[in-house]
Amino acid sequence: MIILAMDALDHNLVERYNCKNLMQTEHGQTDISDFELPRTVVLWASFLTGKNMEAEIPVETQWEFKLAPDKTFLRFFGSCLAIDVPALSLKEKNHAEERKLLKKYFDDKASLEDYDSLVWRNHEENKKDFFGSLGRFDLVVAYFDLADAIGHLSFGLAEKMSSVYVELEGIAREVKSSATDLTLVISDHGMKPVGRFGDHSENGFYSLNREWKLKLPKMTDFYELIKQKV
Amino acid sequence: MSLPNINLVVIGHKDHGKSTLIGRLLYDSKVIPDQKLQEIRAELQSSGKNQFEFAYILDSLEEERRGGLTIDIVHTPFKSERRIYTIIDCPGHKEFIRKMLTGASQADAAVLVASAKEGIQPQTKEHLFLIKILGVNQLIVAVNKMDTIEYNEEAFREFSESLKKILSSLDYNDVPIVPVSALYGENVTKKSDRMEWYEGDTLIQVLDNRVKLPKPLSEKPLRCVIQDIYDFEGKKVTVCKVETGILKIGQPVTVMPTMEEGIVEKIESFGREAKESSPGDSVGIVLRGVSEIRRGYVVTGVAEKTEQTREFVAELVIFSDFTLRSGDIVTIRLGTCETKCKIEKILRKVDPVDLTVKEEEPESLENGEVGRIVFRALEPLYLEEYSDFPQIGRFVVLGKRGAVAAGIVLEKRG
Repeated sequence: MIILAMDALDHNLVERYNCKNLMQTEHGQTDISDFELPRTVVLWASFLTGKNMEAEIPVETQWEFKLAPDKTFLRFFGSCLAIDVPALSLKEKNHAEERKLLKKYFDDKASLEDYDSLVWRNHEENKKDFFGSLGRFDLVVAYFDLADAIGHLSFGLAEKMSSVYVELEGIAREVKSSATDLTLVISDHGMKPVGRFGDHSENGFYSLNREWKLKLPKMTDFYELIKQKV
Repeated sequence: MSLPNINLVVIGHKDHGKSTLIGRLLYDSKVIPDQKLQEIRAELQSSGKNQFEFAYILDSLEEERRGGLTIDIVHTPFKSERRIYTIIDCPGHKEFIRKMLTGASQADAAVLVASAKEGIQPQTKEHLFLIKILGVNQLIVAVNKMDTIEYNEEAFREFSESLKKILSSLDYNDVPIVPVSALYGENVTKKSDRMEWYEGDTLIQVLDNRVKLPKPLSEKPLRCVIQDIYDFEGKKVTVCKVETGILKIGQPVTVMPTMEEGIVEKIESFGREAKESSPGDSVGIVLRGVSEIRRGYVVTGVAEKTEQTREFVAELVIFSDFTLRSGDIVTIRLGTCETKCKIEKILRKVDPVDLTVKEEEPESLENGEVGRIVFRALEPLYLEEYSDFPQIGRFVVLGKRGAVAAGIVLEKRG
């Protein structure tokens, strides 16, 4: 199985940009209304465990939170690889660098270009890791934060967001052409514009290359669904 | 000819006789129907009260309003010979500032009611502070309950002197101070013969003579806040609300904050073409020559040379379980515009009760606290100082679950 965990992949934008490969056979919006706030680490941890982890992950230390793989659906697979997945295998150095540069940008000590190029560099690294792992594991979960990291500073810039979605659509296209595994594309939340910037929204997204006929699934539903199907 | 309207906010400590004074003004100006007064008298008698209580007029009207569909904060207006005065309630610090900030009310002048017997109380100062930061610059003081100090001139003069010190510390200078007894109607609408030593006007005369009429919104420079954009038969129709000024066909305009210039090609109101629109109108307009337009932008007149703002100083009150720290990135909503700002610096934390600066350059502000803050917009922004354009000079800070703080723009810093 392949899981493309795409942070802030927005249901509306996937449809607006007509990203057919991201949409796969079946697609829709996820229901994250059980969560008080759409927090990245909480949502991914809940997705992985099938439990609402909001109360267990304090805001201040959320990026340090880590789950044992046997507490997640990874335990249903023989061999697994989780690439840069929040609450599981986050590349802490890369994300710390992104956060540091974001702060520098807000302090006028770094340019938007500096920040964007770091985000793209980290993205390329994950992409390389991901495609290098295909066919070698029973499950590969790969996390891409491009839509989130670029979106926070540029969600109102249509041209830039369009290039982000072209890139993510390209990943989905390549997966489709090179693998026949069950593929789930899922985001933790969507994104809404705040002027030129972007904030998390409840407009999350999922898609499958099989027909599961899901209707507004909750993030926590996928744990059981994966267990049953696998 | 209809009389001009003035919005008055009546402020003061809770037991200093605000309601009695408002009741007296309503009673003396004969806006309460006789039948209503009879009902009030009967109710008072049945509850064993022999003396007429003017504050009861307000309570009675309040009950009536609560029975209706909306609970408004505006009381029944009262009339003088020259004007109609609409009184805005001032229920308390947070409620007051929220209502002012949400645009529910905009006071043209304030009447401070201070009891001659109890003297200056914490809430007196708190309310003064609030109206000052909210840009209410016209103030009149009614020193009430003069009957309880036997209409003593010396006591009034002493009290007035101590009041003047506080008023001048807030830049309220040359404020008329009227000794009154709202209970007995002395110097409210009728000249008192128990205070012959007072040679000034009655409260109502002071209101008529000293409070300047607000400039009509239509005479102010053009400001239209954009609410939405639709593509209609290949044309971009911009839906906007005219806040001030007059919007006319053929008028050259500047769209802020992009500073793009264009011409008003068409105005549509309720499905019909119009030649112009006035403050309060929500209209659809077609702008020629404008390529980028979004919800939150503002249409202004070209001649006005409006400018973008990147940094501004605001007074902010936090009314939710929320902590604001220097360096935080927050989302603000100003009119229909949502944008990101950095808290560049918290200049001071102010105690709204005793007017003192509680802390210079504090690290954070918590729920219930008031502070003066330097905001830096992360993208060019268009706003105005609250005292010039309240409609685009007030904003809320949005937390994850809605508004957590409200502020007014005191100063634009370019």
